[in-house]
Amino acid sequence: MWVEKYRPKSVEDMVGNEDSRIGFLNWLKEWRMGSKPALLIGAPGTGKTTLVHLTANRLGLNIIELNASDVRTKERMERKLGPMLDSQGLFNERPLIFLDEVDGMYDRQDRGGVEFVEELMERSPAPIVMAANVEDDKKITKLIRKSRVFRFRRLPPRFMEIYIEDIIKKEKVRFGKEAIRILVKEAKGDMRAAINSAQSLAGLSAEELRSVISSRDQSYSLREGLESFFNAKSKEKAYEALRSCDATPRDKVRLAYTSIINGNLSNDELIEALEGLGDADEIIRRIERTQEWRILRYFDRVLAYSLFKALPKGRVSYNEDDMPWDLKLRMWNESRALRDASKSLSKFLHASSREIMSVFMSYLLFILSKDKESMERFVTLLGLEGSVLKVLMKEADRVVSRV
Amino acid sequence: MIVTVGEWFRLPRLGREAFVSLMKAGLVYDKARGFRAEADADLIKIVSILKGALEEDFEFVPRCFTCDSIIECYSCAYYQACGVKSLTQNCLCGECVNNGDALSVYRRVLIKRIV
Repeated sequence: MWVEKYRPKSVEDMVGNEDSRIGFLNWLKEWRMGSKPALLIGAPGTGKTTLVHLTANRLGLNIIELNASDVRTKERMERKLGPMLDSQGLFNERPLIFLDEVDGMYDRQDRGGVEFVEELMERSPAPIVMAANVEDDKKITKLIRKSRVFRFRRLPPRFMEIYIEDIIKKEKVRFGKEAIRILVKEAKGDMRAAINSAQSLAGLSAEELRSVISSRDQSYSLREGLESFFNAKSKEKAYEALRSCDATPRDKVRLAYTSIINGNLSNDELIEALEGLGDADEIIRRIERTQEWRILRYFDRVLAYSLFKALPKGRVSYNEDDMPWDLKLRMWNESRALRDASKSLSKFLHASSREIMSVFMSYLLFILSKDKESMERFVTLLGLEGSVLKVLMKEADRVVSRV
Repeated sequence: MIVTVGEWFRLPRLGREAFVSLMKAGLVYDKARGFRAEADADLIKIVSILKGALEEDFEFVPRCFTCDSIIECYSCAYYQACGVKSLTQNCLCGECVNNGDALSVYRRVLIKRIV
């Protein structure tokens, strides 16, 4: 297998994620008792496990590995790691504890495992390295806080291109530049997948490759799936991207929603998109109400078709923020000034500050927007700070633009 | 606003909460030099915050790992399929990729940096 034959033999043989690789190597070189453990986060195929093995080899460390295929309950882990913890230094061996796929340790079958790891982090006489596939998982937030994090991104296509090109040259097979580029695009940053495809499809022309690849089923993370969905050129491609997403329908709707409200859309486009999203959401609610799971098969198609029609291409991209940042910043930075103004005004107008904000403020700002001097006098009269003037002027501009 | 990954840049005052969010996303701040995206920064999050806060387009562009030139992502064959423009730490420029010995040159530069 090429993937074995061309597996990197040293840290220098790898490509991509240079800063994380160098950072991890230095972390391990400088590790002292009491140092934080390392947490490598990144999608499968980005080189986390390979890096740990190669770095340990380079520094002469003996790896004790517990991966997802092991049952990692507290008892099992104690049994495996206990002797090492007690006999540290006895045989002059320098161990390294490697816990692969720690994000999968939260299942029932690994009961007590996480608590054991957290305890181990405090008293380990050997460096602990953990690896996780997902970073947006709330489950590993605590580990992130307590660890030195190294993030591993999907490999940039150009790095993959030169790596595959090198293999093709060494294997002396016929493979054009265009064909290599098709393979690299299809692998989406997963070097293992690219090398496997290169071996199985070696010798095919670019045209033949295209037809083989288009017939393959692909699997996306939610982020990748929604990115492909928002950039899809046809309804069918949009549907395929959504269908191949490894996520629940509820998550698809939630993240499509946050992406849409953060997108660069006009009011009409936004309304149409949210209506489409509402149709898909209705399917989920109906399933929850009636437990008719067979309806689920229509979900991806409804979501894809209705949103594809409503969303102009390139104007929406993946976003997890529940509120657009310009709005958040207004709420954080400007709400205090507006509250102060309405509180002061309430004394003059004998109304509650809430009423001032919801009923009078817009009209008042509209009137004052015509003349900056009046606005300045207004702020002085209310006994407010100068910074409030700036916020009120900005708010007045918004009111005028809405009229 | 276009910023090269790893370089210092200045931002207008955005308020405490935005500052905290940017720091959490991996941006570092130095009073004298401004802001910089660290190697493990979540560039997607930073771009999203800054696009909203500045109310203008904001983009990170990578530098070529081997020759240090700024990369024009728009002219790249992988532009549509690539997450480099928002996610990666380094990339290679067109000239370095098409040099027949690209992988060896890359490795030589990497070894120098590791040492």
